[in-house]
Amino acid sequence: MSTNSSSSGARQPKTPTPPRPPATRQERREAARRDQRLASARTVAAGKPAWQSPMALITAAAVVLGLVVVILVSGVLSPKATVGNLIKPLRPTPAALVDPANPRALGKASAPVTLEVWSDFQCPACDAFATTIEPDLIDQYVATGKVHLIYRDFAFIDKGAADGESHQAAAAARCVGDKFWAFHDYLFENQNPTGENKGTFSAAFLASVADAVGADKAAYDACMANGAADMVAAVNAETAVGTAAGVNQTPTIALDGKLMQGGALPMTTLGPAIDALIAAASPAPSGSPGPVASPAASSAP
Amino acid sequence: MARGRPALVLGGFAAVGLAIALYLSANALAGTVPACLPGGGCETVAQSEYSHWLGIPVAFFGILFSGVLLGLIVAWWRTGDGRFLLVGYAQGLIGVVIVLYLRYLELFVIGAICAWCVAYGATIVFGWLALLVVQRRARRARGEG
Repeated sequence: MSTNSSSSGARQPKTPTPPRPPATRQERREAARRDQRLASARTVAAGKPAWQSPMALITAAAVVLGLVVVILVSGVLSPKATVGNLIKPLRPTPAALVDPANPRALGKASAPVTLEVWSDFQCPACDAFATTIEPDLIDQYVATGKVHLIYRDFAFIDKGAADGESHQAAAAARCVGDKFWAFHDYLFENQNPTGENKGTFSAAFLASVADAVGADKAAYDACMANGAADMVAAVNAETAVGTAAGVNQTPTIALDGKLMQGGALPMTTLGPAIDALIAAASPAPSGSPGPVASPAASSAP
Repeated sequence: MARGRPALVLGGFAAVGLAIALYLSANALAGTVPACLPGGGCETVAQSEYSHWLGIPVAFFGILFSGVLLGLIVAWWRTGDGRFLLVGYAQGLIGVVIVLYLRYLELFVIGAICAWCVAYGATIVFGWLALLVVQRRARRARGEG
């Protein structure tokens, strides 16, 4: 301690106004610490260039460490399985739920609620709905027999062009027959994140997806021949039905035929709406005090 | 250098970050979606594949990050040992890099912005900038630069 005090005194002539001498033990201790650091900093400064200072090295190390974390995390986060150049769907639709009477529907036709999703395979919001919300909807409501889910074509992003990507993707999805939902999952999982109508859903790409989902190749090729004219006509007809019903954006969800506003509605909105329809459809048991909120509805935030 | 006010500012950023991370973690645990802020997007981000790292909600890492940062700031405030600031500075810089990556994911990969995540990122970035200033002042006060 005393040696540090003397070194402090040696510096005093350099300062214009000498500092008040440390009065308390705390002040003396802090002054000693300051002197020690100053001495060590001078040693470092005298021997090394600025970029080798501890601060610069720590900054560089932190940036490198941050980048390493990012690289590790991005590798861990995106271990996307692929088939050829295709990314496998993370949450594929269970094939067992496909309605045998309508390959573009899931669940029982006798379910108390019918939910239609008006969608375009090129639409980013439809992608978000199909890959993040729909799997929960299927788990919670379709697999439990409460909802009959129907996919509806509303192909508009290619501006009505028969050979446009929205129309060709929708036609191809019809051409794979009972593999529709697997095809649907692949298309959304592999949707072009950089934009629409940029050639992602080319004929070769759609054929590779049909191949990946195990569609009958001969039947698919026959169906897609001549620009899939029949299927494109069916897509246009369904899009026209949607337009007449008031659909003007995708995705649009309809519950028992009634269009809901808001696009890719979250489960916190869809769940209670479906529960309300189920509650309204089921007759209240005699002696019941009245409608009771379902567990799903009450768990919503 | 007086440490009270700088510690309050730095601790404030870390505490706000910790509170946001706790809120997001509670939502992740309960399986609910954070309350909507202007701009929406939290539902999409929360349900994206990027909301979990190694099966753990990203918000949990936020608790760890902000909690450690707050601990370092409190330790510096109580002891005056500049090494705590230095570690906090390095940790904050790592956080800034990760925050930038997460914003990139939201903007260009997920295609949705979660205002809660942006707010958390802001506490990291501004907290680190404040740390940088405090660190420089502390060094200057020690006569190092």
